Amino acid sequence: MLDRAHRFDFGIVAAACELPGDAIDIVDYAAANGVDERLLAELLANHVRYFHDAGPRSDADLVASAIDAIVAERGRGWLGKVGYLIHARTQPFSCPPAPTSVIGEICDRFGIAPKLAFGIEQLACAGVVAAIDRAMMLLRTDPAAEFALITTADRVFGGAEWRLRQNAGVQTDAGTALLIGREQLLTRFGPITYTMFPGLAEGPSSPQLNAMIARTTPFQTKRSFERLADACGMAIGGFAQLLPINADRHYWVEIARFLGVPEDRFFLDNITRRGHALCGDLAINLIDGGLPVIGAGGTVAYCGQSNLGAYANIALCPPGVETLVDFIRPQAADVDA
Amino acid sequence: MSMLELGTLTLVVPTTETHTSALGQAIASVNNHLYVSAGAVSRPPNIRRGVTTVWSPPYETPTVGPMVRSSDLAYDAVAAAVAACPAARDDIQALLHMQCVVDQQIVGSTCLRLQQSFFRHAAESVMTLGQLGTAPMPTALALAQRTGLTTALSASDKWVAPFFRRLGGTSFGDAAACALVGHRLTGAIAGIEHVAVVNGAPLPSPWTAPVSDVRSFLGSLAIKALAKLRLGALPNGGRNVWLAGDGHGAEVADALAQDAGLVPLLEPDNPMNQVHLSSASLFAAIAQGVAHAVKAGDTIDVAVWTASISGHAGAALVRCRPDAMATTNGWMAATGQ
Repeated sequence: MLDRAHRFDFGIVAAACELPGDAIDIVDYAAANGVDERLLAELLANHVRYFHDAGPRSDADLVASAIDAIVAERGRGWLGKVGYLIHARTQPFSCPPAPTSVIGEICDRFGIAPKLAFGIEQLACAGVVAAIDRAMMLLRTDPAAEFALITTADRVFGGAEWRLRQNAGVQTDAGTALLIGREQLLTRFGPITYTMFPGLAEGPSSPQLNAMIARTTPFQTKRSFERLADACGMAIGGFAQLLPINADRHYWVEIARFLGVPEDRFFLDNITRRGHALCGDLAINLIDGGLPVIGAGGTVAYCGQSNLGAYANIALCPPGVETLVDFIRPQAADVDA
Repeated sequence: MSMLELGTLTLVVPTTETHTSALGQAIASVNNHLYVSAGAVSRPPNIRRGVTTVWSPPYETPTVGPMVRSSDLAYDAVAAAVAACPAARDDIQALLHMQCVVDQQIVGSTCLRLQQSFFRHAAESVMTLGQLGTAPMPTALALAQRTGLTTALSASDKWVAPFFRRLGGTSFGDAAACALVGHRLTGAIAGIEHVAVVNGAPLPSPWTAPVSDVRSFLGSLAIKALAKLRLGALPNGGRNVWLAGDGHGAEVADALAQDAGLVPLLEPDNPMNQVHLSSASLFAAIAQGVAHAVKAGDTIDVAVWTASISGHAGAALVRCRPDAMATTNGWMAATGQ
């Protein structure tokens, strides 16, 4: 648990996502791509329905559209105040060809000249939380820097065998942007925790590892949420909402049971509406589900889950929560109840 | 006191082979995802499915066999560093791995593999830095300095088709490296006195740009990075500072030495100027500096530089110590760490 006087100095100033084109119904997609009827029935039974396809658009295109949305809302003035740019992704190929760089393209398109810019990779969907953690470290050690910009882009490569995540998810293409700062916050970042499980670093690369990942994911996810709650000094029930990644609904239902919270504490709507945008799920779920809850005074927890044994969780608080003491206080009634 | 001490440094440089294709190693079934429609923006645009060679005048570069992954190279480099200085292993608090080319295994994570193999206790600060072209090291040094954590820096690349191993007149090698850096090392082979990072616009049309344009672009980036070191402000006006950096060819090395007014550690026609060790390149430049200091029996200052067509570049002023001890594939501090 953090020191009770630990200050939460940073949060999200603006958030945007680009889900390209119209949502595609997997019923239509299955018919057009020869997906087995039994698999389609299982997907529908697991509440999987819509996704987005970027077509020929690049990762930089998707990120640019998300940044354009923030520009439309706030103007361009903030672009010159971005001290740090961090790009997180899960899909190994979701980037321009080596040795070129999605960051170079983004900076070039928007005239952003960060002091440091880099990608965080090979942590799968935990990478976006690690990016927030690193952005906070950089802003904390550089009071002159006003903003950090965190971007994500993930696209699916290949047909239905890659688009469909076994029988319980569909992967969507998306780009997102989170503007991180100190003032005028939509939400303030609380504690971040990492929970690592050795032995899965090679990912789903063999039948044995696939089986191990499937078997252990719910328990590992439960442990990661418990660790975050410990860091916050409160019970998991104190979180008004838990944000998942947008796939594997049955896992989240099981995890809710493990954690002793009602199933609807998890924001599961986007498993149906959006699909799994990998590192983009954080921004998408915040926009669609988390920020309204935070705006109403609740605290939200997100799990950056991966199939590499790396988990990164983050608490997202109302802007008025500035220390761990503040953080615990509004939750006390809920915990006691 | 240096901004960062550099302890053990190891290089893994495979034996040199002669190639007549500009593309990296063609490995059956690897990178097939890049030939589906989504891959069109993630592979070099002039490479179609089925193209596994692009004729090039013969060139030599370090090359590993088809079964050896870039992850394996990184493992060997870190293992050598840990073997050279076992006492330092427990002091490592963070791991930053650097990689430009996707590993041929695709779904695995090299940084997590290294963490699980060597630094399990450093679980909360492990990541791969990417999207910095072949010039990630200055950013990694800056991050290590800003976190204040004792950090293992590793880098590895293996060039696999359809990515270009020979591009714009530069021959990229398969290679890996590891260095242990921090503020509290008890022994060091060098001190990092200053680091400069440049995030510039990428080279336009890098796949078809004339060699002269590429070299001019890289030289310009490197000069910007070296200028940020402000060597002229050193007590002796920087006149005793040596120069070492990427192997982009004798022409770049010679022009840069003249523009910067520094004496190159290597003669322009030295074979090392013809081989670029990819993400590990700056480690090699530092190793050259340490070797020179040991040979001279005196501390020397070296300005090391790296520049990539991605628009990323950087430089560091490195104070190399004469009492470093040679290991099988690198250097370690005489007094342990």
